[in-house]
Amino acid sequence: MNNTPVILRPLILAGVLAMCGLASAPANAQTPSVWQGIGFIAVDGGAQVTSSGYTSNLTFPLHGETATGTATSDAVSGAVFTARGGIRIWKNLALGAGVTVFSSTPDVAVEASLPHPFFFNRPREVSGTASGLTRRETMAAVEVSWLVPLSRRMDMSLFAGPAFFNVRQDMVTTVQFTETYPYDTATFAGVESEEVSRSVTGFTVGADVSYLFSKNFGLGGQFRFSRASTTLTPSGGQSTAVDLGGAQVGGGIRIRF
Amino acid sequence: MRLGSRAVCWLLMLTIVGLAAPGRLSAQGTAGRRTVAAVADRDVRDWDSQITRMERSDELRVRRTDEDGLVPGRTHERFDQYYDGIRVVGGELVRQLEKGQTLSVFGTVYAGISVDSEPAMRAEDAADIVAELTGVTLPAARVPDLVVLPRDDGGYALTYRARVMTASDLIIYYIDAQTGDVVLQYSDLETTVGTGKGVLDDTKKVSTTLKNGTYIASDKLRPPNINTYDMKGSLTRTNQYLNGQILLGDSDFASDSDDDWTDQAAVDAHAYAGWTYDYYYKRFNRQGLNNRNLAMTSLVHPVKREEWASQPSSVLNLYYLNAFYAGDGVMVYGEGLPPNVTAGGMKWNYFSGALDVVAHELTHGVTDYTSGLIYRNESGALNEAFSDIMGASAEFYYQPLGNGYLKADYLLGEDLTSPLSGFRSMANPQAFGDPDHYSKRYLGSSDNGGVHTNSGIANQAFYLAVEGGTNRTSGLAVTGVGSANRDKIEKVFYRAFTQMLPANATFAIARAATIQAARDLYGTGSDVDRAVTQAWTAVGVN
Ligand SMILES: [Zn+2]
Repeated sequence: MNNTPVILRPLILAGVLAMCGLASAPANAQTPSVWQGIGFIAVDGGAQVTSSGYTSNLTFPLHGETATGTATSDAVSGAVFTARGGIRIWKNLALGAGVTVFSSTPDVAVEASLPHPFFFNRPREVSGTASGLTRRETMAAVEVSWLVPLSRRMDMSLFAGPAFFNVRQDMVTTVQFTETYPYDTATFAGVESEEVSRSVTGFTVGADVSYLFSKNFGLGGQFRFSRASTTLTPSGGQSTAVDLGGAQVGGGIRIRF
Repeated sequence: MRLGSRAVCWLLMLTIVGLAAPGRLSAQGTAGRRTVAAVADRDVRDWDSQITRMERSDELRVRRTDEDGLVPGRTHERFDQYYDGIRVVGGELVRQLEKGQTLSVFGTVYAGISVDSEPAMRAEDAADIVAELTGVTLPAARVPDLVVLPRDDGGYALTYRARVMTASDLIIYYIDAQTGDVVLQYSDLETTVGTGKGVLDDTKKVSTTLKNGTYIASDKLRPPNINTYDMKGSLTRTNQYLNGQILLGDSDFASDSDDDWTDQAAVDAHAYAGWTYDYYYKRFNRQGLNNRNLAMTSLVHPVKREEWASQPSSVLNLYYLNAFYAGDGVMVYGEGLPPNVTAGGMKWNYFSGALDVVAHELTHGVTDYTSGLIYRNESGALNEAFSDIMGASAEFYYQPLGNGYLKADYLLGEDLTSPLSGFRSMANPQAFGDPDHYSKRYLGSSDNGGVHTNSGIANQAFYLAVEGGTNRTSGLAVTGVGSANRDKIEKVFYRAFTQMLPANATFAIARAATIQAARDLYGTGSDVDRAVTQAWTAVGVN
């Protein structure tokens, strides 16, 4: 969570309070068993904390041979914004949609084996860290929610549905380096990257706890897990398997109508 | 068809052609141009005050200041010259300082600049002109710079400078800021690494340059210029160049359209020249033939192979069945003979196809710039021996040990001949009729007093010092340092032959100098001292 922007921390705290602290309050005798409203809207900020890392294999032509290498990101975590809404269609069941936007710029460990300019089969090894390589995931989900009133002011909903992901990932394509005569060693200097975009279908499930201050407004928190798998292939490069989504936790405002 | 064996006897005879130093300077005009090389106290003081004055009048601006990486406490300031707030191309001074005191000033400044500093067009207009010329639209970050260009024909022009990568070249344009005309354009150096097949069909890398859409055999990756020219079978042109009567231009470079080289003689001449430079650099920390990165120039195809039968024997011996160092860093590689022709019972390939031959010839350049061993009698034999020693050592540096083509051994030129033979042996000079002992030295006058014959004596000494063994003539045994330590004997011979021998050295002096070098490097009584001493004794040099 150390990638979580400072501004999001109060929102996450609000969500956690709503889900844990307030949820443990004893259920009120007046708790209705059936949700009476028409629909809901939830807007949250938070963090995606358990996205998988990835390792991409690099190959690029250099000095009459092929340079090889890897670019590895151990985990991709970062800020996520979520908006979801729904309309009650039957009893406590609602049909709605959710959108999450996730962005992360983790450090990427790069290792490469660079051909020698004068001789075949005499590679120089370089390694370093590349920064500024961003992944942006946008997920749009159709969500079926079951809303459970917990008290007059609190409710919890469980939701799930198919999710449509679009990912835009900066993929390392070439390793930059410096070398001087006699070129028996080289020094890592950075990378060149290419933004690769891909759309893929996955799923999302989650839970939301809301606490209403008034009839229409409140605060809430949610936990969500989403997942989709795909491969990303920069032009002329190798395919890299990546998992999208992950565990998200966040908090924000709740609207009921 | 067979040639007389005499042709073979002349193999690898060094021919030093006295070259009138060719005028290789560009035609750049010098009007108003002042070259600064101030190191004397008074000059430095003068330039110090000049710099102060020019800084005050905004004619000089500091571009950067760098710490000296090698001499602590020193800094180097780089100034650009400006005219009316516009940078003057090539106007630059570099000042070396220590504790605020100037030690040296080097550079070039232009005096008497007179040019209208108000451009009639914007940088964007110049970019449009470049786009029209090249089809390349420059991004905003690369919009052309306004600069004052000293013209080659004298005078100055206010220009926009643009650097454009086209599909086939990297071009620098100077566009006249008043008229939009192209004042100057040239290809910026683009270094490439090509591949090609050598004379023995082995694939290797070659350092080339992309120029005007063609890859040329010009190595810009190594410190010196290493250029290989294709003389296209013109002996007339070859001789004119060697005599300083013509210069070689871009169209004379060995070239290839796709950097996948097919001229095997050019591939090997070019690659092996670079390898030899690297060997000297890595083994001895030497920077080229003169230790100051003298340009290395190789000429291939000085004659046409198919015309061999109509050539006089002198041409056959020199330009078909020989390679020679022509002075000033220039090597000429013989063309060999057509595959169906033999000389001395052997077929002969392109002479650039043997690493030991290339390193041998280049070592003549090293000798030229060091001991200058006189090319006759004993000093001449030592000159030849040193070339053989370094030639074989380069093979051992790069090639796997063994017998066969492209293998490291103590034969000379074996990669050129079929069947595999070569024309000298350091392990057994007598196998080619050369002496392996001082008592058997040739005392006649041919071949400059047997320089290619008596070299066998020193070659055998080197061989025994490395590998050990018994000299066939004296029967004396030598304990060598072993092949794994061969670099020690190479360093001993390199040090003695480049730094200690006089031009008219004798074998006895070579013995004393190499023993002294061994003691200086590895200690008196060391294995190396003993091996070198025993080796010379075994070959009868005391
Ligand atoms: Zn020679």
